[in-house]
Amino acid sequence: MTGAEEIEGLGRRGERVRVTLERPIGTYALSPEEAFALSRIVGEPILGEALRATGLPPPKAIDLLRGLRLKGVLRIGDAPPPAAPPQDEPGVQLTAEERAEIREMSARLPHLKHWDLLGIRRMASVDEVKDAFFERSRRFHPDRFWGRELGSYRRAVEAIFRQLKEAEATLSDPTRRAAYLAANPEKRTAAEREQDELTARRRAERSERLKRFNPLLQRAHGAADLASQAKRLADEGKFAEASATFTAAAAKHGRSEDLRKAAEETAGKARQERAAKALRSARSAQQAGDLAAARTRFLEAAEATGDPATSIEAMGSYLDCGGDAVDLRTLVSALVVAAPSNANAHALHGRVLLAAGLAKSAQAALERALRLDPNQPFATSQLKRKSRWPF
Amino acid sequence: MSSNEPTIGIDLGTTNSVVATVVDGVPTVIPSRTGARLTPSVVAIANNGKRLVGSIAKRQGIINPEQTVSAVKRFIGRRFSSDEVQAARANLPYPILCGAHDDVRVELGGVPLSVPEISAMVLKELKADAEAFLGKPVRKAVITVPAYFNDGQRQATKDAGEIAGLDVIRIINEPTAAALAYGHGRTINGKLAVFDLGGGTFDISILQLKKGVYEVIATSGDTYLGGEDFDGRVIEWLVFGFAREHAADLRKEKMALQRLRDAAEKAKCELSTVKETRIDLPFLFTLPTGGAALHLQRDLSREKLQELSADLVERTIRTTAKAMADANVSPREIAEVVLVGGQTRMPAVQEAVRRFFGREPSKGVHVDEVVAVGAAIQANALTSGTAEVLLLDVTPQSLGIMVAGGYANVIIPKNTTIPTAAAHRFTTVRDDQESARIFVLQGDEDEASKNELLGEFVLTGLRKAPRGEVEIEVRFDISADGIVWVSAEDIETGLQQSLQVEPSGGLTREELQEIASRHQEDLVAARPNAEALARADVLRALLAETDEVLPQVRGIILDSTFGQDALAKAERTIQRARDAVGGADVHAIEASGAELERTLALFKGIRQRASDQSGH
Repeated sequence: MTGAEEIEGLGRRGERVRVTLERPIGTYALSPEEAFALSRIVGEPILGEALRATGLPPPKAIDLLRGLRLKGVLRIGDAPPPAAPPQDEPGVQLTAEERAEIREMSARLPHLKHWDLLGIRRMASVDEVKDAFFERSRRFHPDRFWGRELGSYRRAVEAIFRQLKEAEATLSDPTRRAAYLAANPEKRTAAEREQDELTARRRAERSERLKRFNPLLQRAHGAADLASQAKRLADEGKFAEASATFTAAAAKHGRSEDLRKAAEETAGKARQERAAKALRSARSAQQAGDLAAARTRFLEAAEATGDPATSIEAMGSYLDCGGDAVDLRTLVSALVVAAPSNANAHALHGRVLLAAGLAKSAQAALERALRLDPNQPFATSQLKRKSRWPF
Repeated sequence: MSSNEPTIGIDLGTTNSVVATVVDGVPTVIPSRTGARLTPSVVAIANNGKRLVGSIAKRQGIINPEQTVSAVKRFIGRRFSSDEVQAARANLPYPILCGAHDDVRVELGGVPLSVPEISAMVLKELKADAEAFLGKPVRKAVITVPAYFNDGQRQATKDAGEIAGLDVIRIINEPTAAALAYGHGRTINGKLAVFDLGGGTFDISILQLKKGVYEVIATSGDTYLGGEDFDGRVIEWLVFGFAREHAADLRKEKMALQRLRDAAEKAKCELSTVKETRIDLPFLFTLPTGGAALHLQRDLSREKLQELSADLVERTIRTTAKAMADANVSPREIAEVVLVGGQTRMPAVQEAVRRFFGREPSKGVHVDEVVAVGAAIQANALTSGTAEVLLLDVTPQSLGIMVAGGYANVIIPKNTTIPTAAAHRFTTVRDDQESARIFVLQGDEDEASKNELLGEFVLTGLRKAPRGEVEIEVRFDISADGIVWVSAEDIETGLQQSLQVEPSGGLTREELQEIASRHQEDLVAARPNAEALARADVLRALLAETDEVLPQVRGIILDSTFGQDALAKAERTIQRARDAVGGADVHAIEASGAELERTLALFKGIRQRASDQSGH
């Protein structure tokens, strides 16, 4: 058995046990056994001794002390809160007010949260923390009482100052502050909560009123409403509707670049989606042998999509399904403009031009395709047969 | 508690000292009885046996170098055997001796005097000046020291004050005092940097000011960098030039050296205002071979001086950058930069400061007087009880204790606001250890012996228990006056021992090292941390592997004609590793791990060779 040994739920054997009765003992709900164990604790023994002092078998004693601790009758381990110095300590050269000030702060010190100690709001800025720390330091730095006999008040003042510095250091450092805030969640009394609610309600009412009567705000609110609706639609995947709503919001707001951009983005997404849908139904039609329907859908997909690869794929399939290359002329020239460095786009362009009988332009397009990708299959195959062409 | 008793502030400088007071709320520099505002920190015994202090002492220094003591601040609170003292000794015109406790003694008028006694002579002079000025006796004084002075140096300065009949109510840091003086009558809200390059020391402090509260955020410095070093560079240059020309070493001639010293300082000061100056020392030296006396005449330009001292300026900036990093403050955030100390008059220093902070350093304080004025303000603030001004100062160096393995374990880190207190728990290093020896250290080095030893005490009557089970809590308290209290307590028995730290004096680094090894068994150990535990696991694996290989190799080695000593050595290595594996000393675990790895590799090599040979 050593001082370092941990007793589950209690602490280390070497730690001190202190009785912390804050109310008359009768007001604590103790069992007779617990009361007996409590009566055996004299002074501030270490845990091991306190357990032995009960004279009970260790498991029983541990159980009882655990109970007492849970009921707030015992404290184990923590340093004792520095007792406030006695009011009438002889030889202390302090005025009655100064004594009262120190005594009061000393007594409250263990219970005060950092912001309460500094007398600031929980969310006070770093500057406010510094100001409050400086102001309190003037009152509680030992130098204020320099040259005077302070007796036990000296320790008390030093403890207060140390705590002030600790509070300031904690609240000035973002990381430490966040940890401290998390460890000390805000506790609001019922009255305060009621007050919070009232404030929130008033704020809502006020903004509602303003919305109704202020035309500028009204418009902005309308735009904001529309924008949030559009966002919801976009989130649900209804891009076409979302795009339309964003456009409406942008129109209403008048000057919002962001809204316009959002409208464009969602429009793009909507097109992409339409293309994907068309492509899917085209494929199933192709498989079913309904080539005419497949051709229409492929064309639709090629038109709708903003993505060159999808477009090329759709147009290729259109031709495979027996479509007329000439139908693709506009689409494919737009594609070449949109994706000038895509070899497949140029090859397709060549193919379309070839079908339209424009052999020279076709050759130029295919050569361009080959420059971009020497292995482009269509272009290589066509240009290899070049000699047989009636160019 | 207001009192009518006058108070003074004293800047006890390396080269010059200043005394100031506050009269009706106005800080005033007290002129000496001869009307000078600076009093050279020089003490001498004249040829007629009279003791001289200040400018009279300085003036006769040339004709009486061996009995003229200057720059004694460089030795205050230092050990005779320290590197710093030994290095400074070479260029010293007056003789210094080793005292009974390895302290520095200065022989003056045939009597060896302690350094505080010499300083006290200067302080007495200043006290007399103040009494003449104020027309009544003066006792209470605040004396300044470089921020980077350790506890021993502060105590010695305080001793000097007491010897001079002063009641030293507070020792404060020079840059802090400068900030107090600078802030007096100005409204400054924000961060302030004080760059203090004096005669012998360099200090940098970063303070936060608001409504009369001065909070030191960080402080750093170099106790061996100052104007004297700049002078030294000029002297060196002159000496070498002279040696090249006449093949004579001027440093051997004390009187010549004193004249060189004065001329170098004068030239350096002149170059702060002019571009070039002439150093003219006629009849300086007579060659041992005889002949006419030689003259020294050289021109020194500002550029040349800058070139000679460029690395010194660079060192101040490096220290500054480090202090700023400690305070987590960027040069941009500094609202004002205050230059203190005569050496900051040098244009190259001002330029370096301007470049570093990206702003013009503040003018409008008297670089020589500002520290004494600040000390006077603090003395007045303390005694008047009105708390108009409040200083929140910090510990300049870390405080801790020596733990097993000869390492320093920090308990209060540097730059902690005082008053403060902190406690750490330690544990015993061996079974049934009945006493623990606590060595209190000051400094920022990992190795205990590289730090300053402040004091020691023994905690006896510990409970008998296996090692690591008795827990000892060591607690440090630093009061607002910077006095350190240390106490140690056996957690379980409540057995307690404490001491007020006083300078131990008389211990050299070697002695400290020797003590460290001698009392290895009586020390306390830091409790193993995660890193130590992890490394110990690795070491344990190595030990297990060694245990496996050793018997095989032992046979091979015993059969062969060589390598017998390798076996003994390996066993010692293994023993060391076994000792370290249970401890908390990360360094020891790591070191013995590396050693064991080497041994293991060697053994494996031997085994491999043996099996190769038997295979053939």
